[in-house]
Amino acid sequence: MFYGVALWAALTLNFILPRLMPGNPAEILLARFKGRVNPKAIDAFMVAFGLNQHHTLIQQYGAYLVQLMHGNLGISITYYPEPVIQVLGQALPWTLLLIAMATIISFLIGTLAGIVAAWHRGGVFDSVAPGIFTFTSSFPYFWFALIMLYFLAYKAGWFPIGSAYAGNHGSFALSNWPDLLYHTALPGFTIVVTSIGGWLLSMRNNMITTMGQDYIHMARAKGLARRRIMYQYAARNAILPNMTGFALSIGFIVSGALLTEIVFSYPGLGYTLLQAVQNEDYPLLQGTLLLIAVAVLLANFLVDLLYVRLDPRVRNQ
Amino acid sequence: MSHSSVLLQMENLSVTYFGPPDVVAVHGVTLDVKRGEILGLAGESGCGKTTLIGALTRLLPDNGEVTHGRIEFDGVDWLGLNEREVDQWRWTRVSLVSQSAMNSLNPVISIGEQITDAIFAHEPRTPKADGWDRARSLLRMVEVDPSHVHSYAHELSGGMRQRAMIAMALALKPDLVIMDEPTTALDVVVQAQIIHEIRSLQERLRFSVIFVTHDMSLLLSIADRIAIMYAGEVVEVGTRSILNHEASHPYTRGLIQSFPSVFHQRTRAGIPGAPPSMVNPPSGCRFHGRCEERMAVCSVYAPEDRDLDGIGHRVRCHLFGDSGITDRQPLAGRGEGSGKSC
Repeated sequence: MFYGVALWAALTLNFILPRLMPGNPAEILLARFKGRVNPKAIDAFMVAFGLNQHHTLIQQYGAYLVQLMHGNLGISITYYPEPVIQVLGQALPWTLLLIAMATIISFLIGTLAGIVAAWHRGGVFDSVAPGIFTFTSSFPYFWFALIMLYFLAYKAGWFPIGSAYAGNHGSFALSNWPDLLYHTALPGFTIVVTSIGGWLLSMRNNMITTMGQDYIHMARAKGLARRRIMYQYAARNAILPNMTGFALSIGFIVSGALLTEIVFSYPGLGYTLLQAVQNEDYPLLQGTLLLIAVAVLLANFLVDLLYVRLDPRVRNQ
Repeated sequence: MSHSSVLLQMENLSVTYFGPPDVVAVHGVTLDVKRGEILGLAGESGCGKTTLIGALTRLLPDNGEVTHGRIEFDGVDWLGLNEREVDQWRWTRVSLVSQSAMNSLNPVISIGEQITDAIFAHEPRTPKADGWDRARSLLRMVEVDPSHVHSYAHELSGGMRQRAMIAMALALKPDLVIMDEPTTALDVVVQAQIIHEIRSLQERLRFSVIFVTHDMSLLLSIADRIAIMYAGEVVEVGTRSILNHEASHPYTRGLIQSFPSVFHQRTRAGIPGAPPSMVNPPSGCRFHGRCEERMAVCSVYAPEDRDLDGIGHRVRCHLFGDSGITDRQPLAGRGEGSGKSC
């Protein structure tokens, strides 16, 4: 229910915002191509955005929703005459590959390190790890990414300078995976290094709070194995607040790594968004924002499902 | 296994929390628990009850340490066992029911899982189904519907949670169940039911209980023997009837007078003052600053334990001393705090 309303609100905002801007996308399109535009394309474009002058705003809105349901997001100006949906479709898998993988790895390692650090509080790992990762997390991202690119890719030549694949076309065929991983390694590494500290510190703090709880004391009194107390009693409770943070961050996977994709010339959605902004490509911009909104909602929905599995207290409400 | 009637013996036990400042939270406690008895342990907040339990369960916080004395459990040097051995003894020999059942149950795993994990941890060869059957019959034993093995803590009422905790504590038929204020968080009606439950279970299964509370009237109805703690020391121990009728230590008498009796008219009176700071405990007898009967000696020398009737009514007070100090004249102007303790 909540998701339905939120989705509707996102769609509607996405409809209204371009209409608040001066001019209209058709003018931009015409101006840009100085009349060399296929009239049919303009028609499709006008229909897609409900720009037919004879229609009221309500009718336009209705038409917009109908077009959306058919998956028609209009035609990109930058990549004319490719439809927006196709541009996004090409960019999305690369973003998912790089950013999703990096975010999940960062979350898993950071959370696990937080658990271990808190469990052995005051130990060697706990004295070293939080400090190091807080330090790396405070790097300005673009600076760190450029340094890595300069030294490891440009100077040392260990990693590719840019792109997500060798050659002109990427494919997810099994034989291509070594190449894909080779291209994602360095950008992925920069994301993990700069984001892991947040997960580690928040998990460590949650764990320390949880370990003061009576049920941990009881679990010790029961003589349970340390491992079971650590995971089933402490971490299982401590991870709940971290899941919320994770939900937000996977929502922004789709949009999030703008800087990464720019620095590493990585052909994902962030890069596409930059292109759209630079070229005043409203259809593409609108499509990208819509995709981001949907992704955030979808991610939240998935984490809600997971949360219900992890926390029985939210089940019966 | 020895067949001595004493299950647990604490001798001159002291526990220190290392600071700064260092705090001696339990000081020179000698106390025993006999097989099949309910030993009540009473005292104000901060008197060291919880610390004493921490030492008994070997679950003191990291900065807490037994600095003196010994604990013998069923003839074995309890403090000499290593961590692995202690883990084996936990729950099979000593279990714990704690004050707040809400916070003592893990909110994200089911009641049954929390009962069975203790069973499987100590009897790893138990088949899964048997473990769960045992969990169901344990719940039935404390009069909770066995279907609640699949419930979570938040789905049960306060009384049911406390019953589930008791069921859990009895899962491995321990010799000793330590109950740390098990009814404090409950309303009086539920409290009475739980007390009744504990007593009938204890009569049936004959385990020993250390029942910790600050509710003296509760102890007088449930305990076989009662130990009174004040500022880290046990100041008086005796059977329930002795403490009820012949309480000797001024602090015990104060405690008993501070609640109304159902059976006879009694002038209620509190104990003036507040418990002393444990960082810097008073010299001599720790109670002297609040004591109505203090003497000159009280602020100078710490009293020693004295067995009044030769069968275990023990008091730590100069009023009953035989330390050769003969000055038993009460100080002039008694009743005014010395200023040292509050």
